[in-house]
Amino acid sequence: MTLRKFWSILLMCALAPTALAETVYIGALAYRGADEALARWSETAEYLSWRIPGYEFVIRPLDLTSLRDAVAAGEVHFVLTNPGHYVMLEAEHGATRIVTLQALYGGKVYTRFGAAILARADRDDLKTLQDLRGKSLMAVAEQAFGGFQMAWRELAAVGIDPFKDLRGLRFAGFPQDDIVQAVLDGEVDAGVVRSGILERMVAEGKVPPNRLKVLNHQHVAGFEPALSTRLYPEWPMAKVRHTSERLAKQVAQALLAMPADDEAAITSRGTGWTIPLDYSPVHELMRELRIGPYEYLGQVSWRDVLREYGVIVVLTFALVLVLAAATAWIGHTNRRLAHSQAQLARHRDTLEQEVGRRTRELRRVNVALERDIGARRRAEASLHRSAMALQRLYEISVAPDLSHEQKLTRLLRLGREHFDMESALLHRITDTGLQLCASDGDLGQAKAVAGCLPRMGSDVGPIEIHPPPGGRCAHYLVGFPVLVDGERRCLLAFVGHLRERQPLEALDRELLRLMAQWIGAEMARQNAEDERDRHRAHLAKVGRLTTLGEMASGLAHEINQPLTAAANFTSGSLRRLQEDQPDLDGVRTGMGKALQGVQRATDIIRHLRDFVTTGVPEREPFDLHASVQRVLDLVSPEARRADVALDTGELARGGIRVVGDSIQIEQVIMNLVRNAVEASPAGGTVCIGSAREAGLARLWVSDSGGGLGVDDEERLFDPFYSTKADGMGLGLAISRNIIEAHGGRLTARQNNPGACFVFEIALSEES
Amino acid sequence: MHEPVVYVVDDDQMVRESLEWLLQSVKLPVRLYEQGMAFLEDYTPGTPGCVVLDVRMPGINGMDLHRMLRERDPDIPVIIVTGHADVPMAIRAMKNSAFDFIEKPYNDQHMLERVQAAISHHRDVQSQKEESVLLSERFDELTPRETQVMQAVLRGHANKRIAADLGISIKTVELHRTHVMSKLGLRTATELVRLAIKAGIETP
Repeated sequence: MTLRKFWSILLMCALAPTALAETVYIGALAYRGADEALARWSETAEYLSWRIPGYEFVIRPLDLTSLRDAVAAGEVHFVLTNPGHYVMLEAEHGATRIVTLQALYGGKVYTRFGAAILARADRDDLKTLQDLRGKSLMAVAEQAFGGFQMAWRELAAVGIDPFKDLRGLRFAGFPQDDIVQAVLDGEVDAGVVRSGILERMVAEGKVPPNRLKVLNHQHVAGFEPALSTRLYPEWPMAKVRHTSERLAKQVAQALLAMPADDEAAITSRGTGWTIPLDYSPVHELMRELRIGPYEYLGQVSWRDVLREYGVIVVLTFALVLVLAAATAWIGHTNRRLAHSQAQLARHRDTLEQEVGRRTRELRRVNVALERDIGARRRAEASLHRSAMALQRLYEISVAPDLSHEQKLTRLLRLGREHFDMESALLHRITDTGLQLCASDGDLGQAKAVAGCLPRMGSDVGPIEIHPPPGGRCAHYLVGFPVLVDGERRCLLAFVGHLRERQPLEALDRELLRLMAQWIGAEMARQNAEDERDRHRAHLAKVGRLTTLGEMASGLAHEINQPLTAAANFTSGSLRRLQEDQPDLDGVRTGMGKALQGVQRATDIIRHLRDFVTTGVPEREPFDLHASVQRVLDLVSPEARRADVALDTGELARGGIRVVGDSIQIEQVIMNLVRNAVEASPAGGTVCIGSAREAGLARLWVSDSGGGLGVDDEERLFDPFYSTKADGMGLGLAISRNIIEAHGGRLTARQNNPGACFVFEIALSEES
Repeated sequence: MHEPVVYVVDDDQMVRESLEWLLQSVKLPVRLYEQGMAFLEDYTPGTPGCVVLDVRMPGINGMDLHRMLRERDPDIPVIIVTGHADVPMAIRAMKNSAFDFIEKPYNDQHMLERVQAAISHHRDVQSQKEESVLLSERFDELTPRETQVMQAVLRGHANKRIAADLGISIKTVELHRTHVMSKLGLRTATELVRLAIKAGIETP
């Protein structure tokens, strides 16, 4: 086993699982038996398998006939055969040579070969080819190219037909050495062998030198072996018709690249391969001998002529026929042409009419199309407007800073502008009728359309009233009922003057529905919030009651004090009256003090009632500064008496609108200002200031008194906690309750000197 | 002897003054105090009268003031007044030996009665104290031997036993007894026991 064989087997083993190699058959002419052919070409097959991955090349040794059949049947992909046989396969089956063998003999490389006609050197009667007439000749086989046919051509050239003009023609087959031996032995007069055989036998010592001579000895430069014939290209490797060009190219490249010392080259008795040579000399030989593809040239007959010139004959005949037919056709066509012209004229007239008709049709279609485009444009504009309105509706509904009322107002304005109306109205549906609760635009219309609205009350879908002029309601009106928690609670309406108006489009109706839906949802939310606020106020009240329970002991003490005092004064007075000479003035004083005690108890109880009944405050917008002024009007006499100045310099410019119960807020302000005045020393100042900040109004009252007087400011707001000698400790507690019921807060801080009380409540949304 | 005075301590001016008005109608001298400390500073122990304290006062409250007063003068009766009494407070007050515990609003008659009762109680306590001082002075006149005999008599021992205990004759015991009785102006042993208790003499 050669090294490559080893490697290729190894490679095949390695590749076997992944890629099954495709088998390529090379038909090799086994002119000396299958074994010889395998021995000669197997290495070449190995070489190709190694060089061309994915293919496994296999040699199929075949004789001339089998090889021809195999090619015909497509059983082989490549052919290795002699030039004569190749030419036959080329002619009959389209085989194509791809490379030509470089043969080696006598230590020299030849790509061409010929044949030698040998005779014994001592045969003086045999000098030229002519001398062979009537003599016996031995060759390899009738089909053997180098072994017979080459010599046949030369004999034929000198007018000798080897099959007729010889005494005997014997075919000895292989090995050709036997033929040489037969000539040596005198068995035959002459023998035909391939060029190079003689030299080899001489070199091997099988034939003594100069014992044989070459007839018709040819001298060709560079060709050393004895030669009697012309030279012909060596064996080719040919692809058959069905073999792919790609594979053929790969094989050719591989063979051309085969080194001279390669095992495959050596066993093939050559030095590798060269580009395919010209095989026309082989063709000439065959033609001359009328063998192989030219066998038919043997008998010239009509059939032969037809075979040789048939195409020309048939073409000529056909041409004549065609010319005759053409002449007849032209005549006929002329007649038809005249007829067609007349027809054409008629068609033209029809066509003109048709064109006119189609033009009119097109014009009509165009007009309709333009109308369509206009409508579509309008629809697009309307769509755009609706989209804008929807966008604004969305923006309003998600605006974080807007209150419910602001959102509602903006929505009404949006709708009014979108529907091009003079006013937008939102009515609440009540048992007694409709009640306007929000509006935008011309409010006068609300009254004007009041008569029309009840008619809409029962509808649940979009409402559109476009009454004829002179009717009860001379306005154009669109509306939509507002459902709150599934019930018709309100009526959204947009009212405008009667004028040319398009009826509501589907998109507008949808927008109307969305607005009503939004208002409904917003109202439901508002209701929920109101409910929550009420609940919160209720909780605060419960909280106050709880506080009341906790302060029961304090309360008892506070009320007991004045009552006890009153009882004591009364009792003391009574005892004085029972004396013999009662001190009536003293008794009067005592009774006065008793009355004070009773009043004090009454005051406590009244304040207590105020404290407990501080319920949900009225919520009306009012001017905080106006409240401050009213309080100052009431307090200023007291302040003057105490020699305390009231400074309003810190009040914010302009009014501050707040929402709440103005009376309660004034109570708080009054309480704070009076406390401040009482706390201030003579010559002191009480400052009242205000500010707006983040939706809140802030109001503060500061004094120049002794400060809070406690560590814990929160204690100040406990009921019945007081730092004043005659304070009841309810003022600040009640004030804080009021402010908290307004959703605000009241705080105290040390003000150095003095104290400062601050409360914050919500600004009115209109400010 | 000083005239009894009613000391009123209450932070509420009106209540203070009304109490004064009431007490003066029965001719009781009254002294008013707004704060507990002011009262303590002003008060001289041993002064006859009583104290009326309000429990709920800023600064020192009534209960604390009562306790502090007891340390300085355990005898003066204290009436505690409260607007909202609870049982634990009342118990505490009585454990501190308050004379009484009165809830507001109170019956003026009741208040006057309790104040007068307190004053007379104080007066009794004070006169008892004075009497026992006088009595103990009389006992001081006895000789040591006579005192020994008297103490044995108070223990209820017979003359025979006393004589044996003291190592003297029965006759001598009888003589000492006669001296004791004549010095104290008594006739019977029963009278002697009564007098000894009054004088606060400890019976060993």
